[in-house]
Amino acid sequence: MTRYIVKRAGYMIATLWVIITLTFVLMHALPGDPFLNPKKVPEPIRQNMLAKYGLDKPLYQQYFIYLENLSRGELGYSLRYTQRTVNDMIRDGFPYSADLGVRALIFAITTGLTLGIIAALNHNRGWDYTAMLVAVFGVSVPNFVVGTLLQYLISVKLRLLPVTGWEGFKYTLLPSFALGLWTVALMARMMRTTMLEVLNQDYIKTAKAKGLSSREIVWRHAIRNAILPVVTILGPLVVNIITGTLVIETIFAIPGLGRYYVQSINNLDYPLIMGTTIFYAALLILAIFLVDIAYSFIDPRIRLVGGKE
Amino acid sequence: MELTRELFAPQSAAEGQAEAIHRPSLTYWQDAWRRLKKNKMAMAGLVVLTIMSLMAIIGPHMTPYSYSDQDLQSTVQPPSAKHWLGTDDLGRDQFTRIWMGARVSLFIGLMAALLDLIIGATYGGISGYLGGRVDDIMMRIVEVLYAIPFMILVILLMVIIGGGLFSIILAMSITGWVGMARLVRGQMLQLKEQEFVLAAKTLGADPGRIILRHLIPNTMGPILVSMTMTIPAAIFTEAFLSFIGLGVRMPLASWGTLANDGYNLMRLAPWMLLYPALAIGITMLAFNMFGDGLRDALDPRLRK
Amino acid sequence: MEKLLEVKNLEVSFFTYGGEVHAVRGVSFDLNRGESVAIVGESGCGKSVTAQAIMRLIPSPPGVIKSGSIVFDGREITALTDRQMEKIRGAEMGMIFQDPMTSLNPTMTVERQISEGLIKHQGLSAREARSRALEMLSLAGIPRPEERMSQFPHQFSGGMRQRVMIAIALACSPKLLIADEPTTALDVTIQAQIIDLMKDLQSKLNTSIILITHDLGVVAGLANRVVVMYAGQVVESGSAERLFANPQHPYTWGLLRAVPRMDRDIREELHNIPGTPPDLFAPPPGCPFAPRCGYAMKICHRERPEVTSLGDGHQVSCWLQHPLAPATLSPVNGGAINGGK
Repeated sequence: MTRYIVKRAGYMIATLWVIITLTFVLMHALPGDPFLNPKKVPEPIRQNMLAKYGLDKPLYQQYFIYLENLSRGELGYSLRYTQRTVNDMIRDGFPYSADLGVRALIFAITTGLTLGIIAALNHNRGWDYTAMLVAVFGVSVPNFVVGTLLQYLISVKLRLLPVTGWEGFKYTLLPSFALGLWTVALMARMMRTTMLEVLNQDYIKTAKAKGLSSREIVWRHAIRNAILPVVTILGPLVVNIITGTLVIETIFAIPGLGRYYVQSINNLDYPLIMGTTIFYAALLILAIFLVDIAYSFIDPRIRLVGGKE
Repeated sequence: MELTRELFAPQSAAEGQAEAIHRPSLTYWQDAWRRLKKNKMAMAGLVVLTIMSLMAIIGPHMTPYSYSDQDLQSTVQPPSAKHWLGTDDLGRDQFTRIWMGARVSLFIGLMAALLDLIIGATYGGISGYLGGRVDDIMMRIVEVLYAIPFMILVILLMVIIGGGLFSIILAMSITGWVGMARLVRGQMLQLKEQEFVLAAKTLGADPGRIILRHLIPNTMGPILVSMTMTIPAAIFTEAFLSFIGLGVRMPLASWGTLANDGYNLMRLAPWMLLYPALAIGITMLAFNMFGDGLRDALDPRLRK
Repeated sequence: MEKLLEVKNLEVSFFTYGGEVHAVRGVSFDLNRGESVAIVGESGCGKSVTAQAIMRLIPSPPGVIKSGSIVFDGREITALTDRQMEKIRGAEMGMIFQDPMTSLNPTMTVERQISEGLIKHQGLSAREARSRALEMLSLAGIPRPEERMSQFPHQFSGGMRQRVMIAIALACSPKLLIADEPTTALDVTIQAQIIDLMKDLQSKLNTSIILITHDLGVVAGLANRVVVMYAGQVVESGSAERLFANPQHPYTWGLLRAVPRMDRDIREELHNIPGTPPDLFAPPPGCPFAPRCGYAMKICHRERPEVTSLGDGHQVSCWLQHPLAPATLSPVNGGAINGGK
């Protein structure tokens, strides 16, 4: 088990290092120095940056200075919002993004699993088709389309919910729904498949032969075994939710990190793009790592393999 | 029936029973195609995809306008006899632009999937076929790359190399091949150990022949299924990138940029978002239905 | 002796895309308390379906018990509600399956899998169930049961898992144990141990056993009576002694000659039965074995043979028993068959 975690942590660090190096190289591949292009940077900031990153020094030295800054958690200055560091912006914006992301994830997991289980238990009957219809539509429509249409219909036309902002529970409903829908669909599909597979397993027959009722079989034997493989795709799903916040925050004008990120892309605010990219990358890699570790705790079979290794 | 001594005369099996009817033997692909044809959802998906592709070819020529013709006298028109799907804020014909967008979006999807396939299958094939140390090192690299958040990297690359059709395809294939490599390697490892490959080896077939005749045909199924998922994913990614401002360059249109334009004009002209959104949705739906059907059809375990 | 189970004219069909599969076509047999019966036949002959029908475990859809009756301990099983059936399963009938590797829930400890039924059927507290589970595991011959019971199935070998399955099936001391090919997936050496365990527990707990198998070697060790099935029908049945000593049906001969024996000349060829069982979508009108039978007559292809009783519970369905049939000698023991008189 410890060995497994250490091994995975090793990969995590290697991946992060690749991303940081890639970011560094790409940043320096830009014509001129990153603080000249394409917008005029106020001279004091430029001086500040040049000194900080030692841009007059040879490239390899710059690389180590960059790593050193990173290791202290310093991600640089924004070009657009002068006087603010990327760290400030992450500190301000990320709580909103995290709030939105967690809401969407909770909505997606509960709804997705429920839909999948209902579909599997009513295999080839009305509920199954309904759930799968929802699932197929969910993966077929981009989340920005869902967000925009919902905003237009429910908030602008029907005036049922606030159009934009993030000031209370009512404000969270549409963004969380739009952000989570794709994940709901994916979860439901996967849960249905694994649930159907599990229901055909011999140990379900054993449970039946013990005289358990269908409800006991489903709750005690089927769901737990069916959820296990679904947990493995949770990592990529979290990634999807996090990248989805970029779009959803923009549509609903939520002052989160995703919105800053999209703005920084449109403003070609390179240091902000780089800093945020590294932050997102670290976050995503950590999320996948945590999901994998959690999985090894849930599945008793993996625990043994890890222990023997 | 009255029992007579005559009835108790010996009669062997062959005389008594008509010869059993044998099912005509089908090759793997014939059998898969037969089952795919039976799957109504998959066939509906295939028909929709065919129509979409045809319209991508002829659609832009069905109107007198070019996708970039501006008519500042009639901007943001609702659908009419003159402009079937209306016009955008620069007075460009939406019908023409939607099908032009179809060309671009489908092209991006197809190219991304194809590049994934070429790079991924080569890498995975070599790794899986050679095995041992080489495989070990190649897979360590893949594992590190696999954990890189794909979308973040694409965004980063797009920011650096700039928007545009080819940067999108490039950025997506630089990051996308890793999944394919893992898939092909897994298949290779599995197949390599199977009896028919061992048999071919024992019979003295050379490695090139083994790869060509035995390994590739047997990995084609999962690869094809994976491609029916890669293409829509690429179209989706393109739409996402366009939405955050990293799409193809004006005046070229893709479904993603059209949807983005529609989003900006949402309150003024809701239909501007509706049509590209429908185009994306229907295509995704068709790919999903077709892909699911194909997976079922190619799964040897489901052969009846 | 008192009858525990009586199956009469049982018919089970599966409705699939290709049409109706007549899996069981008029099977009758019965079982006394404390007795063991073996149902023998090739795969696909309907023996497992018969067993599942008794437990009412036939997957439905597509499976349906079309007609016939199953009387278990005075109750008509086919007429019970699902709720009533749940009370019988596990409590009065237990079942073990062919593949111990897949029959146990991989994410539940062995203890919970055993005690589950006890808590449900006998209303035991968790503590009582635990001590009973411990008792069952040691009865099933699992060493260090205290330690083993908190483990998961993947920590057990195949033979040990089958012992766990037996412990689960017998936890509530059921009157009937159905063992569906319990040794097929196991090593030969382990097979004998499992059969011995079942025999041992049968005498300790006074359980009746239905043993489903294609292996006559397994039958000889355990069963008092044998039912030979072919293509969904019973072709011959009787006490194990009589059936082995004086088999009457050509299919039984084929089965017996397919078993390797130590007391035979090794140069003698081991027999196989040519051909495959008939298509159960459209079963032949006559004797289902006729197309593969070396003794087939015209009548065999046209009419289903009647059941002939040979006394002492020995029954056979074969036209060779008819007075008009030519005299035939059994290839197994050289004895004359009733026909031709």
